[in-house]
Amino acid sequence: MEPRERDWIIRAQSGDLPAFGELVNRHDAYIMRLIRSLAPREDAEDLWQETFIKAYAGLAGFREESSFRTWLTRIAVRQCFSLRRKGRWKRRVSFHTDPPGEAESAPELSSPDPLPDQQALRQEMWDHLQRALEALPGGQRAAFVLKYVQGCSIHEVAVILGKAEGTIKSDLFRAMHHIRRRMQRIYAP
Amino acid sequence: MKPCPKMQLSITLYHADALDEIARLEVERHLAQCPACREVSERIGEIARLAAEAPEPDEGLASVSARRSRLMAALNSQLQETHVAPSLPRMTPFQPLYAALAAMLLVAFGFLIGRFSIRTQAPDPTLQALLTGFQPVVAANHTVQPELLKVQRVRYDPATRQFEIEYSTVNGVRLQGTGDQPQVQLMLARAMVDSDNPALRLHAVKAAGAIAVQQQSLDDELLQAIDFLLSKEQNQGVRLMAIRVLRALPLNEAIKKMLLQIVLHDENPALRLEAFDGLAAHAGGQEIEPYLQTIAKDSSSSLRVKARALQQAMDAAPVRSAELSQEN
Repeated sequence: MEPRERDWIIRAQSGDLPAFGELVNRHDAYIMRLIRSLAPREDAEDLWQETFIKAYAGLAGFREESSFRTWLTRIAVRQCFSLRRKGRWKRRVSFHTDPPGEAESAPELSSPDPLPDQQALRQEMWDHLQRALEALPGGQRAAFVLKYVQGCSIHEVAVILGKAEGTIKSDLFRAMHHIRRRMQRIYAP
Repeated sequence: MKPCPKMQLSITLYHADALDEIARLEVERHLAQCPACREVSERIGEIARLAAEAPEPDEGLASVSARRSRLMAALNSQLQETHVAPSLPRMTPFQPLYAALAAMLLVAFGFLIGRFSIRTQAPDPTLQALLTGFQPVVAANHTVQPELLKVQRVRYDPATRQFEIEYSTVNGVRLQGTGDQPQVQLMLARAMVDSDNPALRLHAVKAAGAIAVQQQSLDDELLQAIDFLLSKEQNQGVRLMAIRVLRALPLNEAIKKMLLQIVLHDENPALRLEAFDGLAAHAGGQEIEPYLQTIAKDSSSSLRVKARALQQAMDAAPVRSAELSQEN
C-alpha cells in the first residue's frame, strides 16, 4: 500500500471525510466496474453508494491484513450477493453503460480505434459473454469477474470470496467451461 | 479429434496464471503436440481477453462527479445525525453516582438474601445431601439440581489428612472431611469425570491416591472414575497418576484388568511401563506371566527388556529352589 493511501486511510479512520473522499476517487471506477459486472445496471449506483457507506462505517475495523482495494472489493461483492439474495440478481447485467438497445452506438471500446465492423463484432461478443455470465451460479460468476474482468490474483479472489484457493480454481474451471460452451456457436465457422 | 479431458483444468489455470513453472511448461509442451487442446486453449484465451477488455463504465465526468457528491452528502448527513441526534435525556453530574450506588445496594441486598435464607433455612441433613451432590436437593423451597454443583477446587492437607472440596455455589459451601467419608470420595469421582479443568482432575486423582495409600481401598464410584480416566482422559499426566493410584491398592481382578488393558493396548509407552511395573510387583510377577511373551515384542525397548528380565527371573526361580532343596 502506498504511503499516500495509508495516510488517507489513517485520516479517514479518525473521521476525516475529505480523506475518505480521496479514497473514493481512487477506487471509484474499479468498484463501479465490478458492481456492473455482478449486478443489474439499474442497481449499480445504489450498490456503489452502499459499498462506500459501509466501508466508511467499518473503516475502524480495517487492519491492513489485505490491501484496501481487496477489503473494499469484499464489501462490494457482499453487497451484490445481498442483492442477489433479495431475488433481483437474475436481471441483466451489463459491461457497458449504454442501454441494450443502443449497443450499436457505443462510442468507445478499449481497443484503439477499432473499425466499425470490428467494434460491432466486439460488442456482440461482449453481449454473449454477459448472457453466459448471467447463467452462472453466483460464486462462479463472482470468481470469473474478479479474476478475468477485475484482474485479481487467485489469492485475492480467495480472500475476497472467503474460499480456499483450490475452490476458486475449481469455480474458474467450471465457469470457463460453461462460458466456452455457450459461446461455441459464435466461434464455430 | 477431441481435447484431452485431463488437460482441461490445467489449460484453464494456465490462462488464469495459476500454474507453477513446471506445470506451465508441461501445458505448453502438450499444446504444441495436441491440436484439439490447442483450439480449446485459444478459445479460453480469447474469452479471458474479452473479459479483461470489457469497457470501463463509460460515464461523463459530470455524472461521476455528481455520484461522488451524492455519496459525500449522504455521509455528511449521517455524521450530522450521529452528532445531533442523541435524544436521550442528559444525565446530571451526580446521576452516574446515584446509579452506581443503587446498583451496589441491589447487589449487596441480593447477596445477603442468598447467604442468610439458605444457611438459616437449610437444616443439617439437607446440607449433607447437598454435599453428596448426586441427588436433587430441596433447600429453602428450591430444588437444586446436582449438575449445577460443579467442583471447583480440591485441597488435601497431608498433615491433618483433611480434604477440602469447593463447589460452585452462591454461598461458598465447602465439603471438609477425611478420605474415609463416602461423600468425599463421591465428589472426587465427580471432579474426575465432570471437570473441564485438567489441573482439577489431576488434584482429584492425587487426592484419591492419598486415600488409596491410607486405606488400601477405594469406593466403587471412585474406582469407576479412575477407569473412566484411563480410557477417556486426554491428559497423559492425569492418566499416569491414575495408574499410580491403582498401584497403591492391593491387586484384585478389577485392578488387574485395568492395568493389563494399559500394558497391552495403550499407545503411550510410559503408561505401559508404569502399568507393567504395577503388575510385576505383585506375587513375583505371576499375574503378568501369561502375557510376557506378548510384552517381549512391545515397540518400547524398555518394556521389552523388563519383560525378558522378568521372564528369566521366573524361569530361574524353580531351578534355584530345586538346588536349595537338594543342598538340604
